[in-house]
Amino acid sequence: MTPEFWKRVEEAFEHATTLAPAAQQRWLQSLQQQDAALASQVAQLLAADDQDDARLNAPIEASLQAMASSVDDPWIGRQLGHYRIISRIATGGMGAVFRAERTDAQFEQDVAIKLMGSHLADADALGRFRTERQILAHMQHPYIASLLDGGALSDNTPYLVMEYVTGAPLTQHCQTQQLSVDARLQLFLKVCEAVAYAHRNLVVHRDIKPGNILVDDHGNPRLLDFGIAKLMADNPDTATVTVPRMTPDYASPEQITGQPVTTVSDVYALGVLLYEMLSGQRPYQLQGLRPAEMEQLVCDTTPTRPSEHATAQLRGLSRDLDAVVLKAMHRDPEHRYTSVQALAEDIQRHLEGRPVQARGQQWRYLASKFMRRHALAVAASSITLLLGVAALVYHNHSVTSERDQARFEAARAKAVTGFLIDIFKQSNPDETDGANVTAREILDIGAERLEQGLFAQPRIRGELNHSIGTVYSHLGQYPQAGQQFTAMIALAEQLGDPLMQARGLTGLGRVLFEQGELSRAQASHEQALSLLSADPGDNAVQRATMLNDLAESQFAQGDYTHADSNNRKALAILEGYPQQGTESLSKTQHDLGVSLQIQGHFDEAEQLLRQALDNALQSVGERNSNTLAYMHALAALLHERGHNPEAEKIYLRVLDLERDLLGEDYVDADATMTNLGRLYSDMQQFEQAEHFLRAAVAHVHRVRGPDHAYTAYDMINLANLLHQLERPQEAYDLAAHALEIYSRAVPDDHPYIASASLTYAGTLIDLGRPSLAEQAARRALDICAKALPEGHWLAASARSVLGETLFLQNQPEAAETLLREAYPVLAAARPKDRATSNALRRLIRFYSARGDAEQLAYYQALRDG
Amino acid sequence: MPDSESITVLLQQWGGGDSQARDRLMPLVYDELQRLARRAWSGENAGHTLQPTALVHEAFARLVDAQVDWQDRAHFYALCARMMRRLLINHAESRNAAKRGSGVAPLTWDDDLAAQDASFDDVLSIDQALTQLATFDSRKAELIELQYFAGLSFREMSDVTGLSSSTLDRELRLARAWLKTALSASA
Repeated sequence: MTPEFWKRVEEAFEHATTLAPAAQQRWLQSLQQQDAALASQVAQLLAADDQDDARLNAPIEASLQAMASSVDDPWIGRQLGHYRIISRIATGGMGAVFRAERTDAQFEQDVAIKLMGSHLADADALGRFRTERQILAHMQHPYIASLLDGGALSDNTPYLVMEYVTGAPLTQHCQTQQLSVDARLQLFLKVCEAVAYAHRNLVVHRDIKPGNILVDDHGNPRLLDFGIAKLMADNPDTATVTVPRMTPDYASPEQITGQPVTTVSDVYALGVLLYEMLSGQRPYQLQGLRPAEMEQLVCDTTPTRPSEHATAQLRGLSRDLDAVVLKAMHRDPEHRYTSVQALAEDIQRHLEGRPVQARGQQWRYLASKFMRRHALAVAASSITLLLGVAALVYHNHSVTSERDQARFEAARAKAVTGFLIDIFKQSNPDETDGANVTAREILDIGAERLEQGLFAQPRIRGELNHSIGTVYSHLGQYPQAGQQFTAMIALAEQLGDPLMQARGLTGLGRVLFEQGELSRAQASHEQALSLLSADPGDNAVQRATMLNDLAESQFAQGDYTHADSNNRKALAILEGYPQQGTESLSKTQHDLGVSLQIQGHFDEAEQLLRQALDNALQSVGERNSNTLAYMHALAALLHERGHNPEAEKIYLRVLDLERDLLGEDYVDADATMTNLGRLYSDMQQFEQAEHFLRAAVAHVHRVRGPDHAYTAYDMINLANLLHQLERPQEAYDLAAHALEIYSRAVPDDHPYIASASLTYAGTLIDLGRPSLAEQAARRALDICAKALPEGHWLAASARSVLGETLFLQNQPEAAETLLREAYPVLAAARPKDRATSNALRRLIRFYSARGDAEQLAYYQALRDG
Repeated sequence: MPDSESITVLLQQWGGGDSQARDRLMPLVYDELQRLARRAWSGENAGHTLQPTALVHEAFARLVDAQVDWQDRAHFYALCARMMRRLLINHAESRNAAKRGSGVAPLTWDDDLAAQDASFDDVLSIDQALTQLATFDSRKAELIELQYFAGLSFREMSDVTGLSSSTLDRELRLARAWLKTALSASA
């Protein structure tokens, strides 16, 4: 390997690891054309990258152990009760383990003797030890290594005599036997069976880990050391028990923090075990961490889903299994499975292809997402209604004669009914607890049948594609949805039906939009519009809707001019059809209003947002998710304009309705809480503000997970408040944590990072670290320069913060320029924002420190006026 | 046992460019690591799990004055990693030589002991692959040493090397992948 070639390998490898698997494959193929040697090297490395790293560290640790043991062992040959020690097996977390044989030769039996690393204080302690031991000795289960005997040495060091078991540690067995996912689950179920048996006998294991579970030649597990940890912990002679020597990797948060340990602590450890069996890795990398750091990691974070680092052979671990593992090892015991039995049952469900309980919450979330747009249709809470309604309500303009029309409708009604009956028959009646769960399955079956070409009539097939695509899209299954619309477009092209094609393109454009493919979404909507007839009187409402879709994709790309113009065109059309398209009318008014708000045209924005809300209230009422969105938008605008009491009233109502209509797990509820928290902060009601901002962080953390950009976003809002309340250390911790999340969740030059860096800088200033604060402010400024239009208020805010850091580092000239430049930009763009008042505060502080009475008076007057 | 003052002085001298100081440090660290490993195993302290990270940190605590600056600290950890590697290799080689044909029956009980005998061969293969890696990318080889032979956490490696955790992650990811391909090729 030459360094030059290696350099190229390095670059190629790094690039490849940023790509999704499919893109990676394509990229490698194209590299193969250009440089076969490089491509093959990189492909090998990528394959190796997926393999377990245990083959690197395990031999090192094992040979260290072997090296250390290559001295004479004073224990060999010693007699303990009826047993003589033959060899040392291991030195583990809680003591040493020896292999021994019976010397009274009643019967030949090798045993394992575990010598505890502690001493019993007195006769009482020895008595308790004996009682406990007898309880354990009563446990007889084929998968549990039995406890045979026990005693204490002359110095009161207790020991236990156990059945000697040979076998390989559980995780090693999975690897060397290359067990499939299902085989691993079956093995795991046996482990659960043993643990559940012990729990029925009121024994908690407390130290479940792969090394305590050996797999014998028949592939059956044997659990070692049941209840031993408790035996140790009950020892009152604490002076000699240094630390509870549990294995931190498998210890539950309650164990780590010294809370009471129960059967659900074993559920946790089983979750970690399953995590490792499935992914080849432990959920937390605790190696080398200090106890406090471990505690923080295990108690405050949720691990990556196992499927995200499953090795090549175990690819395709399902989300179901992710959910099962993460539920079992939930850091809050109350959110775990209530028993080992319940965990085992969920795995059994998965093995039988039935929906798992662990995903119950997520399904509610998907259903609520779906409800957000179809709150009325969901009354029956069944997919049937939607499929039926969507397929049948459609009014086909391209079939001209009434007789054709009637014939077509009849054929379609019959076909659709048959289709639905057919797919319902396919779904397993055992699984109909919770109609939402079966929805997805029904869809999949429907999509598959459709693909098999069971419907000869292409127009009906196209309609079904549209219906299924729409539902997939509402369920967040965008790739599947895209396939359905693409199929519909192709059929429409064959039929030469431009309107049908346009509808397909609209559907596809919406899916692309949801996937963040904004320019492709825009192109799709543009093409859809181009297919409509030249006569503006035809398909008017549809045209307006498409214009609004197009505007939405333009708005998201920052093209406000075209977005506004298209929305205005749509509004002009819709005003001519007051009876139709009220939904489009509200949405278009809302979209245009939000765009105008962003551009600072508050009067017209408020007018439009109020109209959108009024229309929605009249047509669908308050208990509707679209109405909620309009209420939220109006409240945000009122807040921005300083009409705080009205904003507060609306937000509180939104929060109530969201909980009521969309459930506790509604995924965007944190947005409402955060906005309300900010409002209270501006209203100087700090207790309320902190309450809602914290609630937002807790909610987003729970619903979206600890690594999501929105989690960081809400944390920054809370940090801002704490900073304002002069609690800089708490604010600093939050901001630093949020930046860490962002560094993984969003690109390096995302404006979120700029904004968070400014918060971070502010806390550093308060903590007396101006040079670090300067770095953070400069980073924010860099990002603004790259990612935002010139003259953006965020850049001004960054300049103001930077100015203060320079002032604190004795560079008053540079500081003054920055501080003075920044304020007027902010005052113009964000008159009511805290960024603006902060910039003013900095000027006042600056001139006050400089003793410049004139300037000081000027800015104080601005503040007080 | 050498006292922490003299080790600290040697480290500072080495940091100042005195390569003899390094040569004098090496056997001290080597012996100390070996001594700590054996002590951890023997009866006097039987409740000890044996991992490179524990030994290396203990060695640091015993040998070095905690007040040394970060460069000396970095040197010390790098040296520990190198000595740990040499210690294990030496032992593996002598054990392999002594054990040919002795037919020791494999036992397994705890995860500490899993596949112990095979691990000698594995550790020798890792050593060879690492030597090969160093011929064209010595930095990555050193990072691997720190990660596996000294058992440093990411954070500690970042402190010791001054590299950001994202750089470390990138470098180590490729280094590990390369080592695994090399190990597969030699197996």
